[in-house]
Amino acid sequence: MKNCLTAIVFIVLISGCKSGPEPIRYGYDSCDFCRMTIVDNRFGGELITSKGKVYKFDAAECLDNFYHRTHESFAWVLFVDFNHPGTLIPAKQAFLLQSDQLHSPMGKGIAAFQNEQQAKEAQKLYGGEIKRCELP
Amino acid sequence: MLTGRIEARQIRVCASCSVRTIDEALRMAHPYDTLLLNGTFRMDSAYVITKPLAIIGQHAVLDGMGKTGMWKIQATHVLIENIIMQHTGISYLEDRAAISITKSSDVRIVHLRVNQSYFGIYAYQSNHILIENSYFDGSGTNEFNAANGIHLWYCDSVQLIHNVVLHHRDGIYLEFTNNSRIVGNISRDNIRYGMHFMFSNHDAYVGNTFQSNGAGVAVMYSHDISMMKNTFIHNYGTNAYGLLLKEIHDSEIRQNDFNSNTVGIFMEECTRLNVIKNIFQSNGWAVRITGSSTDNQFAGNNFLQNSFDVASLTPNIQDNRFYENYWSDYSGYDLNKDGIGDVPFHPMNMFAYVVMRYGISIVLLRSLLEKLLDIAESVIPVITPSQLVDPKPLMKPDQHD
Repeated sequence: MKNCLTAIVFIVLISGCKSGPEPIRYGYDSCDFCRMTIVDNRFGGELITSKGKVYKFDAAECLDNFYHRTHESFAWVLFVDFNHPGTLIPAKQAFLLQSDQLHSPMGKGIAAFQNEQQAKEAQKLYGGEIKRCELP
Repeated sequence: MLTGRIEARQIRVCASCSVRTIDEALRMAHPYDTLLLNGTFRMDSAYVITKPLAIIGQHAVLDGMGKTGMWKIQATHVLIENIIMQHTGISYLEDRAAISITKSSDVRIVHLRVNQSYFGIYAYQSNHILIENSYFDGSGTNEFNAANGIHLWYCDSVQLIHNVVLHHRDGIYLEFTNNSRIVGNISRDNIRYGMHFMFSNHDAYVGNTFQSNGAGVAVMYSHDISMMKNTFIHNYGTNAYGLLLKEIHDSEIRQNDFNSNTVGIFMEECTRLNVIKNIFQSNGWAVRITGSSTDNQFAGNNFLQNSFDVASLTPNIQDNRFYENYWSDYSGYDLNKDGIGDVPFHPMNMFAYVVMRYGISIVLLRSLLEKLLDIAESVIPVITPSQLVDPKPLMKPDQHD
């Protein structure tokens, strides 16, 4: 009985230690910078600290603002892939398209893409300019 | 232009009329003509209005059949009145709306009933728009199949008067929209916000009701907003607020009623707000102040039976002044009978601080531990901000008109 209890406690502790990206629960989670409820699954991103705390954002500019105002260090910087709504891609690999024609939640119109080709295809539709993410 | 008005004709459109389709009527019409519609019109694509026209329904129904919005307005002086519109279907690519208004001015939309639309009205770079006595039911059930009821983007001088908006994503949405008035509307059962302001200045909303939305109203990154005599009721859930204020400056919040919300007002980084003569009743938290909010005044408010009246983790809370409010939790006395309590009231208790730090501890609400913490803190205040104080609490609720 005692062994069983120890095992359960151990499992609970281990499972509590899992860290890494977490899916954004749309319509439920709110942006940790602007406080808005996150509903548009084509934009946004996630920051995960080296201790495993997850911050979620509704737009790339919220993530950027949060990043520069905090002193925490981050293990993951992720953006939502515009072409695969709701899935997260590493910011380092992402190609960002900024266009006024992309009506993103916070108005800056920044979308993230997996590769340059997809970003260029979107650029044909929406215009704007392609950038890389400057965050490490 | 004047002669155009004098010669204006009426064109009747119905199944037994000489003009049978709206497309034909639109081609025939001269500027300032009136189209009178009767009957049900099934549509394959939206009607585009490019000249000044009045379009008036006489028992008219426009049905988008799930394929299209109804009107695309690209003109000045357009009136659309008394039409039932339904079934726009959903499109993620084109921001499909029952009525799209693009780069237009002097548009009046009166007595519409819009059912099962994606966007109800989508106005873009337009000004002098009036939307009055209309009903918008988006029939949305989740954040993916719903869009905003009335969506204003880069607009100016818009009036929204006595409309009802429900089952949309945000009931009413203003982005970069200035000098507008929103009066006497009801926005309820929307998935995210009853109303949402972003980067919109010099606007007023008066006498509206925001009920049972994901959250009531979010006002963000704006200044000079007047919020008066509105009712914020039953906005509850984990992230729910009656009123969310983020980076708002120089605005007035007067005579509103905040009833049964998770948080009555949540403010972050707000400056020079006057929160005066409001009623906060039966909310989880009446007011939460975070970030560096400074120079805000709270006076003449009635705080009645809230679980927590005021909560703040802000170190510079002393920059926000509370005076002459009524607090139902106040237990002081008034020896000189001037109606003002002789003992200052500290509206933030110790347990509010604990719950703000560790949300899960809310399960201890109304427990013995909560009482012990509060008593300990009131005897030796070390954690709650001692400057967060109402030095002149009222003995009786302020009588509001």
